[in-house]
Amino acid sequence: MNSGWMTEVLAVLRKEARVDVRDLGSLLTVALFSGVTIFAISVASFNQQLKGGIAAGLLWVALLFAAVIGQPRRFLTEEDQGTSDLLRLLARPHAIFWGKCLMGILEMAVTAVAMTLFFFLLTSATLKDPGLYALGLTGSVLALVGATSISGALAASARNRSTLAAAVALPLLVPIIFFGIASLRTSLGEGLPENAWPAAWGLLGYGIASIITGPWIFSAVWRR
Amino acid sequence: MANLIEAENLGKRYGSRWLFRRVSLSLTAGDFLVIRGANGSGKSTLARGLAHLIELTEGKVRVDGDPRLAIGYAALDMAVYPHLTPVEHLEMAAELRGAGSVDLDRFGLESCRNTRGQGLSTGQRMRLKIAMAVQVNPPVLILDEPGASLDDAGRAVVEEVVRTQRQSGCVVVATNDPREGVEANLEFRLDD
Repeated sequence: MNSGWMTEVLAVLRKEARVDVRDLGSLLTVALFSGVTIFAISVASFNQQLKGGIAAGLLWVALLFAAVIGQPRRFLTEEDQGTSDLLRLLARPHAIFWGKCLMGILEMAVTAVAMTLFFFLLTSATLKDPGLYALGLTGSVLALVGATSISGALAASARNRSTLAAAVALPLLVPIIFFGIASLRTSLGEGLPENAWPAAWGLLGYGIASIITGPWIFSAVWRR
Repeated sequence: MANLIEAENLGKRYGSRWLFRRVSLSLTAGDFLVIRGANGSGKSTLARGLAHLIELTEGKVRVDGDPRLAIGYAALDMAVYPHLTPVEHLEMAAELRGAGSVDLDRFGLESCRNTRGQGLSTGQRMRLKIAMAVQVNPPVLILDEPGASLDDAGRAVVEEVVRTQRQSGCVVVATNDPREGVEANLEFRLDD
C-alpha cells in the first residue's frame, strides 16, 4: 500500500492552498506589500522617465520581499504550530518540499503578473523586450521560490529558525539578484541583450536546479 | 512469530544526563506493551523514538518497511492543522499514504466532520489523531497518553481500537493513568 509521488505532492499542495486561503494573513501581507511598493514607485517617479536599471531594481526588490515574506514561512510554521510531527508521520520529504514549492510558484506567479500590470500602468517605464522580460520574470519566480524554500527547509528544525532562515537565504539570493536585475534591466531598455539573455537563462536554470535538488537537501534535516 | 518492531539498546541523552538507556524490546502480533513512569522519565521521548519521530542518542528501532506505513502514532501533544477539518485531514493522510477511507462514526467524529481543527476540543483532536494513526492498518500502533483528554466514550474508542489492533498487530501505550493499559501483557517502567 503506497501512493504515487505525484499524488503525494498534490496532497501537500492542496493542504497548502486550503491553509493559505483560510488563513489570509500571509496572502494579504504579500499583496499589501507588493501593491504599496508599486504605488510608492509610481508616486516617486511621477512625471519622470523611469530608467531601466532603476525600474528593474525596484521591481525586483518588491518580488524579493514577496518571496521572503511568503515562502520560508511555509516550512517554519509547521514547527511553530506543532504540526511538523503530523507531517513527518504522513509525508515523505520530496512531497513536502515540492508541494510547498508548487504553492509558492503559483502564489509568486500571480504576484509577479499583478505587479507587472500595475507597474506598467502606474509608472512611465516602457517594455522594450517582452520575451526577455517574460523569461527573466519566470526565472526570477522559480529561483526565488527555490532559494527561499531551501532556506526555510534548512532552518525549520533549528531553535532560532527565523534568524537562521534569513542567514541561509542571503548567500542563496545574492547571485539571483545579479542575474534577475541584469535580465529585467535590459528588457526595460538599459543594458546589453548579449549579457541579459544568458543571465535570464541562468536564472531559469538556477530555479529549476534548486527546486529539483531541494528534496535531497530537505531530507537531510527533515528526518523521520 | 515474526517481530513487528524491534528496538535494541535505545538511549536518549540531553546534555550529560541520560533520560533512559539500554532499552530493548521486541513485539509480535497480539502484544500490548504499556510504558509507565513518572513525569519527565522519558515515556513520550521513548514513544517518539519508537515512532521514528526523533533520533535517539544510541540504539536502533527496526520495523518492516516504510515507517509511515508500518507505524501508527498518536500523541496528546501532537498538533493538527487549525484550518483543516477532520475530513480534510483524513483525505490528506489517505492521499499521502495510499490508505482507504475511515468510518468517522467509529471514532466519534461524525458530529464534527466539517469543524476546522481550531474549533475541535482536545478530545476530538485526539480521536482524529487516532483515526489517522490506524488509517493504514499499521502493524505497530503507538499511543502516547491516549486517554488524558478523553471522556468515557473516547476511552471506549481507544479500548476498541487497541482490541482490534491486537488481532493482527501490536500496541504500545505510554501513560501514567492506571486505568490505561490494564489489558497489557507487557509492562515497562522507565523510572526503574
